[in-house]
Amino acid sequence: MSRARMAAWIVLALILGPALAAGWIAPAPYHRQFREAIAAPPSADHPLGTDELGRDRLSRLLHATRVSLLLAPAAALLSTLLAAFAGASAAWLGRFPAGAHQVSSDLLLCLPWMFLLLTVRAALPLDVEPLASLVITFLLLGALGWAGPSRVVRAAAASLRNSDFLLLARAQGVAGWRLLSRHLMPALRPVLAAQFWTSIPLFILAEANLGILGLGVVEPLPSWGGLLKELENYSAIAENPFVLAPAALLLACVWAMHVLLARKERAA
Amino acid sequence: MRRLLVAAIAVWLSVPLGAQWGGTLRLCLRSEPKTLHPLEAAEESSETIRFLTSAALIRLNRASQQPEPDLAVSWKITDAGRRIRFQLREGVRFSDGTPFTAEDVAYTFDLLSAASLRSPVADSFRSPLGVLKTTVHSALAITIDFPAPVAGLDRRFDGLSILSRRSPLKEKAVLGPFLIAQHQPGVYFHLDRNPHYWKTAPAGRRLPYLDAVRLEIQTNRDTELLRLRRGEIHLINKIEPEHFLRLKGDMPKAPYNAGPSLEPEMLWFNMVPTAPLPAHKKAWFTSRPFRNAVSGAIRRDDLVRIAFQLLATPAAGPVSPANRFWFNKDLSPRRHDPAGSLRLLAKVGFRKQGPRLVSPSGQPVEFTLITNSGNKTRARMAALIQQDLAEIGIRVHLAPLDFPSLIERITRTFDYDACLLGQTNLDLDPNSQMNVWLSSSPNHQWNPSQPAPATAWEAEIDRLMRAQAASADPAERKRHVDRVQKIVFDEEPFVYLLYKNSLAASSGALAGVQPAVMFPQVFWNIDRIHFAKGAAGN
Amino acid sequence: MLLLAGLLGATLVRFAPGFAVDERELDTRLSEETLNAVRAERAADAGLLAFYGNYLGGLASGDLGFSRSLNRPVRELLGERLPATLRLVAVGLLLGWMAGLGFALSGAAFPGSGVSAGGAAVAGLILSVPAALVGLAFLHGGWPREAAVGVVVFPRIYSYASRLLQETATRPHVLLARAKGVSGAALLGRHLLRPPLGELAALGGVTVSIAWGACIPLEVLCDVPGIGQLAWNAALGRDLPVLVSLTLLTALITMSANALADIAAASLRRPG
Repeated sequence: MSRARMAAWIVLALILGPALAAGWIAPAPYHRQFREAIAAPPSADHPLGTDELGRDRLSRLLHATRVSLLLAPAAALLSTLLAAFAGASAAWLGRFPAGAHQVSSDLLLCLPWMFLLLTVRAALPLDVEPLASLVITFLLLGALGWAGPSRVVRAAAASLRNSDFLLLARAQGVAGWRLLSRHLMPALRPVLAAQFWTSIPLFILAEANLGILGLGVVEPLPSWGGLLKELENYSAIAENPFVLAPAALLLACVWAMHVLLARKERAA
Repeated sequence: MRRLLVAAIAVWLSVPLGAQWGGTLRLCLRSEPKTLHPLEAAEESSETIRFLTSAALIRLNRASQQPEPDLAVSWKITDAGRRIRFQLREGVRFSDGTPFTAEDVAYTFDLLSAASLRSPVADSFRSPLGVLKTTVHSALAITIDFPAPVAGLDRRFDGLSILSRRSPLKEKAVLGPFLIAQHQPGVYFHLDRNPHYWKTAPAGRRLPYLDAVRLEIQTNRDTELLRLRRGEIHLINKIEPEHFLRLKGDMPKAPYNAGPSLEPEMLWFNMVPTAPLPAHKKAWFTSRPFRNAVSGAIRRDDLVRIAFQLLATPAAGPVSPANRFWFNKDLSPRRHDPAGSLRLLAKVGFRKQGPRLVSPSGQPVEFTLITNSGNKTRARMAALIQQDLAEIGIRVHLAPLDFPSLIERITRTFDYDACLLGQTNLDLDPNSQMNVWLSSSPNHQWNPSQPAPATAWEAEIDRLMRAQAASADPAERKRHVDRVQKIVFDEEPFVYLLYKNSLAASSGALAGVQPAVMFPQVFWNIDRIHFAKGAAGN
Repeated sequence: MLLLAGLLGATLVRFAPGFAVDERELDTRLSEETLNAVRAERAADAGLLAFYGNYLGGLASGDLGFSRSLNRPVRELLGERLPATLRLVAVGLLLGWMAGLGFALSGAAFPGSGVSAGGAAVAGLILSVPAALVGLAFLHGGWPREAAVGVVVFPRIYSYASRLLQETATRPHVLLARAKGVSGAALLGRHLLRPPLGELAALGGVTVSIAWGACIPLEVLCDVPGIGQLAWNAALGRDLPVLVSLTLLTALITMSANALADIAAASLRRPG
């Protein structure tokens, strides 16, 4: 098992390391269009070939990894923390918070949030920097994505209420915030970890789909979501299997995080 | 006339005497039609159904681009384009057997004149100067009087489906080659052949050759292509350049390239005086040298080669080279000349400061280009333009927006710098672009609904467009329209980039397909399309 | 709560950019009067409270308003499209349940056989793949769309069910049965499955909500003429009556599913 963990660390390092160094090691700027080499197959100059505008795929992948792999987990962390807070307080702090949580999470799950995102886009200046737009997008995703997970957290927290170790802690006089942070949260960690890593790919793809609304990453900045969008043109995949590279990286990352967090669960 | 003859021979040759009868032609509709009433049709799906099921007095032959008799055997335009008299075809019946007479034409015009009817075809026969009048002379002769001369009058009848006054089926009694037999909303339309369709094959048997047309509603273009390859559908009316090339690889005979279409892609700068933009930007956008310089810095060849994989044609102006009569042959697309652009800009005070271009008042030159999201070729064009303009030091931000947001910005708030969009032209006659060119029109995109023309050249375009509309002399009209094209080329309120090619696909099973640039590109001659010998059409 | 959801949904749509905009406005064939008429028609719903009042009034008599973007009464649209989505959800759920429960049961019946480890790995992997991507894979493969819904709900069912079953498996009556030599189908049917049946039924409610949510991307990608596709088209057309109706419908489904989930959680918490 620790071998799997090692492998996961290595995979993450292999993906994240070059991505962080993208500025130095990428063979070309991510936006440079090599107009004489459109949709070129892999070559010495372009190890993964070029895209339909002649941009170096490897460089774009490296930059995209940096952007997505830093921001998506941040958004996932935000939504998990919100879910933990909302879920745990609903389960523990009596009837009113429970009712409020019920109503707000129900609403959050059924309202057409797309329109809020559109309104946010309209409120931003048109020439907002791609990175700023991306950060805002992920923030919104994080802030809106907690409802589903919070219900799971709430159920888990409620079932812990009568567990031995919490009864013991209470008997020892531990209460309030301390009880929540020292005893309940660690016990909820497996649930939270699962929520965390499952929301990462969700957010990465959601970001790409928000492109339709004019939010998220804007050309020429690449993101995993944007690169994955190329897969929609599915009849072309057979001709150019390299468009699958971002999907493979995404799966590898999610797997690695899954393994690492699962290990932590057991350690906890 | 010679062209007409050539086209007639071509059609005749394409229908061999031994054509196979029967079979079901399958193709896809891209969305659920919003209406099935032929006079209300306004979008592509509704117009497809209308085209397949109804008939008009005059039809434009899509190959020759000339009007041809359909329900009318002959017509005569008099009073300088104010009056048209039709002699109707004898013995024609609606799909339910009701005879077709001049009363039906008069009835159709009654419906068309109803104030509540808001549609392109209704608007094309309306005039602010008054209402039209129909006079039935006999069962087969009718005159229509217009309050003012109408340019290109005969061509306007192409989209006007004639409805029955007396049939109990109302608008469901049709005169076209097919009739709607079954419809499952959101899924498919099944059209059966109209047993009373008036056209006949050379041997005298009633057309169409096909027994039925099945239209399946399919929004995903990749799936549509896949289904063509699997043989599940037979035709694709408009196909993307990428799909065209892929199809060419494994079904070399399937894709058709009819050359430049009538649909330009262009960009324009916001010249609305009340727009919420800083004064220096308004000064740039209303400056002709600035627009010319941007236009000259764009590599149209690369847009064509990279965004459209060579399946487009660089554009010079608002009339497509495919529009044989109206295109101004003296114009050719602006050459890529960044040095020339910089010289032009230097003359009006712009200068290079390091890699950036700086305006006379000291601001670095940058603007945001909005376009509709989800259109891949347009996104690619935008990215190419971004890099092209970086060469002369202009920084372009790209902002794809969803369509309603985009429309709101270009029609209501005017909160944008520049917009990249396409134009849909369904008609060859420049009259159909009247609402684009008149400065008072809401569709005069760069500065809509002006109370009075903002510039001298817009005033001149107004005058020329009105003059051509009031004239019945084709040569005079052509002179005016050529002049409009020249002014637009010089002033560049729209920076025309390219014309997409008209691309279609047909599986090998069909014969008689003759793709054209006008809608409906690939099945405009549906009554003569048939399955090739030995091909199964089920 | 339902009414609040409807009102909030309407508010979001009303104040989003592009409200009361019609694609026909760019049609150069239309005259100025027609364009003005089109704009006036679309702006009719701009008074939010008046709209919502009218809508609720209509709702009471079974009238859901008129969709301007699709040119049909909303009730007809829903009536036509609901069956397709219901079929998609129902068949998908059935498949997902068969797979999820099958894996979970065989994992519980044969502990240590590797089934549970394999199931967990597959479920984890699928859980990290968004519904849209699943839809894409199915479209590409030409596999039935219902199975895509099944794939989306499978991991949830599996993980929940296997946790339940593992709990049950350690209860005294099951241990006793095992000790008596009961195994295989008999063990499953009589001892393992019976006690958590109530909870599993409640889990059904939750998965309905999940499958419902997966319908928008799936139907849009795979061209299913259902509610999800309608929702997407209505969103692009800023179609207020359709969107409010769909918000109410979704709220209804989410709330009943969540209520079931809460009952399930409560019964789980009961000391067994």
